[in-house]
Amino acid sequence: MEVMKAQPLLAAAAPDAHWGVATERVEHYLRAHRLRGDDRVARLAKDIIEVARARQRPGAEPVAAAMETAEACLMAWLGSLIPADDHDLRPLLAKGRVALALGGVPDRWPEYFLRHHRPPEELVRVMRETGLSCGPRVKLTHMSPSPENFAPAGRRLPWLAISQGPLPRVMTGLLLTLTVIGAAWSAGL
Amino acid sequence: MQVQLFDPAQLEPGVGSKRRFFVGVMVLLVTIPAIVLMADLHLRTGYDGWKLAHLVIFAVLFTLLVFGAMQAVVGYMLRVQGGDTIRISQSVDWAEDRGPLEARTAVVMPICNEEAGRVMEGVRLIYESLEADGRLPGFDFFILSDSNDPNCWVAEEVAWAGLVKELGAAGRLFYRKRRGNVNKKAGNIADFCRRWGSQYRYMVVLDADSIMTGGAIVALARMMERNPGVGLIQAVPRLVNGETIFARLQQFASRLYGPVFTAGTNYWQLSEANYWGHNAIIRLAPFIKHCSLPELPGDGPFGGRIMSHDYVEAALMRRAGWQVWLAASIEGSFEECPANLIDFAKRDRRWLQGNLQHLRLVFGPGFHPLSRMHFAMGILSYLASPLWLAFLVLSTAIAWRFKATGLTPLPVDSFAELVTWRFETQAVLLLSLTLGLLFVPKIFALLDLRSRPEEVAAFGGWLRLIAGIFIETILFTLLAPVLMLFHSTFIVLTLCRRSVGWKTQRRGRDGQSDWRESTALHGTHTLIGIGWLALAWWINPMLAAWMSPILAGFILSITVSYFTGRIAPGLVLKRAGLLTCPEESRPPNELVRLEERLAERHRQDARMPGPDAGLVNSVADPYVNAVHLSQLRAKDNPAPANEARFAELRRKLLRQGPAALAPRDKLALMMDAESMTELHRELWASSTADVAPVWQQALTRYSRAEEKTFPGSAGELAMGM
Repeated sequence: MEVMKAQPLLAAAAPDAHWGVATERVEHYLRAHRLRGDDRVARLAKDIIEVARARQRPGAEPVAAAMETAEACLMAWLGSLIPADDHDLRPLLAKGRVALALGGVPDRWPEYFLRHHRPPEELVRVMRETGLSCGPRVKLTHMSPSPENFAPAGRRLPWLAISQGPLPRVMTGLLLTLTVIGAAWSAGL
Repeated sequence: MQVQLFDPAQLEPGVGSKRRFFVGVMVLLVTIPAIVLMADLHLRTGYDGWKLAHLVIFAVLFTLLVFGAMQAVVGYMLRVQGGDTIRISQSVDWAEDRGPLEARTAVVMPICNEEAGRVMEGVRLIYESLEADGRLPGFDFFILSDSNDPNCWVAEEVAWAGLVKELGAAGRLFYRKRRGNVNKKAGNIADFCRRWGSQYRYMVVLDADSIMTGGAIVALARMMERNPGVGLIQAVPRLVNGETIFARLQQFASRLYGPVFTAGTNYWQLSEANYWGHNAIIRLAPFIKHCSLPELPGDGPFGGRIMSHDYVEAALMRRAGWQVWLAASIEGSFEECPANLIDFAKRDRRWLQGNLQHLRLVFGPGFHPLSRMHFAMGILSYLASPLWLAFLVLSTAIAWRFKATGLTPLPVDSFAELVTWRFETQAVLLLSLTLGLLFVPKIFALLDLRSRPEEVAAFGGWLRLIAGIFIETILFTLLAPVLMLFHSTFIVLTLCRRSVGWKTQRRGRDGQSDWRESTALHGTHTLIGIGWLALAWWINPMLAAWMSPILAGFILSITVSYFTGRIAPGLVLKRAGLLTCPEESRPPNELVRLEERLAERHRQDARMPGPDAGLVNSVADPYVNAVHLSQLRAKDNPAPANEARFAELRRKLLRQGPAALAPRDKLALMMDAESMTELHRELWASSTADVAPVWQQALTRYSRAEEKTFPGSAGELAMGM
């Protein structure tokens, strides 16, 4: 089996220990896609790392190179399943991942994940038809308030509220206190 | 048997007027003698300004009390006769009218930082219930999020995607997150209307804690189809799922007294009913045309956006000539309620400011008189608290002055010359009348139950039912004075322009009270109670005795608020079969399934989410990242300055972790499609040493070979495992 390749190969150059870390990262990444089975994950990661090592640019970090390859492989595989606009492949990645998640693809067809095999029709259908959206096609409607929904008298109501600022508040407080004392006095309390 | 159907289009205007006149006369027949008795009592001890104010306030409060009691009486009389013939549910022949619904209906649920699991389980129940009824094809579901807490936002997305997957509901169950939550819930709904409203004839509005059975939703849609002149039908939601004593008190009282009250309410409201903001169906075309809310001029408590939108929308709908009905007898409409007194008061603070804002609309042009009355009643429902407080203060002051004079009641005859009661007899009579009116709804609700023994059994039998009423009466007597103080404070704060923040209601176990909050918020109430008791005792021990139920509410507020807000005591009463409702003892299937699923979710979600779990997962997890990106729009021409800012924020986020970013910067990144794509890529391509510990942890969680699925256990991803 051969992992779906994305780009031409370049010369390799980093120590094996670094590639070990890169391999682990790719395995985590595959598991993050809910791909099951240690053997399957290890095999797929090994294939990706081989490609990454072959195309690694001088000075590039193995982890970065490996993940770049993994994403390129994923993009290429998704592109083979879902028709996409050539100019911008990023929406494809998001749409494809949503389809993988909602269609349970890594669970249902693990042997096809990132592989060149001719995919079953059901897998292709699931990948093409499964998606999420925030609603049906938008048909904008005008919805704006009627000119005036309150009476002119109502406009003065904000004066019922005590004004902001220390001076108006102190004045209001004094006025209220005097009113209460005055009422008590006049009532002969 | 031929069913006599009611046609709202044929409803003569005079019918409503006659009914309202009748209720008004009934209210006056009880109120006027009571006011005369009170005036007479004051006359016997000499009149002054204090007593005049006392009498005026008494008249207002007593009228409100009588009005409530009369609704229960009228409601009972109607129910005894088999129900009102003029009610919206009577417009459909339920036995015959069972064909498919032609109209498309959107079921919309606006949410804001709610618990995603609870929201989705509610949606699932409604969806499955409609599916079981075979009515699903006519309905689409919209979860309309205004959440600005990243954890909630991501949890909602993950839970939605999971639900779509489980139900196979792609293309029918939608989730939309607004970038900015302009105009809160009303703006959220308006945004839906502008985008998709024209594609649906009706919209069923739900709250985050609403549950409606498929049968209830179909019934509402069928009533709308049958009556093209009706713009809005409000179903009566029953309170359910309460665990604390406070919540169970509310659901017991509303379940027991609700039927007679709503029957009485429908009697006088008819086609000028009100909208309560959820569990209602709305005809979208007139709603879009007439019910957009104006921004009120000015700022502060009376200006700006309209907070309590529902009353205003109903008034605008009615002003445009569309009928608004209350569907009192529709089964299968439920909601939850605050679990404790403090959360209840917090919710009231929001509603209070919204209702006070309606002062500007009471005299608005073109509104139906009953719409004005709804506004006025809404305002009075909160103004009644400071009035009651003023009544008590005046009562104390009058007693104090009476003691100071050292006089006895004047030896004058009653001005109600036909009666010659002694002063004490008359005072006791007035007190008994007031207390009696408080008990009228309870008595008539019990009388109403006589003909339905199976419902009595569902309440736990007569003994437990009456014991429940006893407990409910005592506890509400203690709680009501505290609410009075809360409301009075809120009104002062509102007038001082201390605005109200939009707080999400805490539900379930999260809504339990705690000692610290109870002590902090009720400490002042306790001190007021002790001080007032001492003063009343000093003035006259009889005054202290007369005020003791109220003062006990103040003094015991910390304890009562705390214990009624805890789940454990609530469960003790539940096990004893007290405060039991039919929905609790014989729950509908939908509620049983909801409880089971929520229990399962809670079992799985025992871990608390990390502070930035939502952001971390939406960056690290390929699927969560993809679901999140599916909701974002890529910018066509991003400004270079913004790009540079976002690049710097991304670098900081990965190197220093989410804690290094301000909340608004985190949200800004999460709303930027480019940034979320780049963050996911950069994180996975970075050396472990180059990223903050929180990211190292996020990456290594996938090292485990355990088998995971998407979305995994409930909330697994959103909880930051």
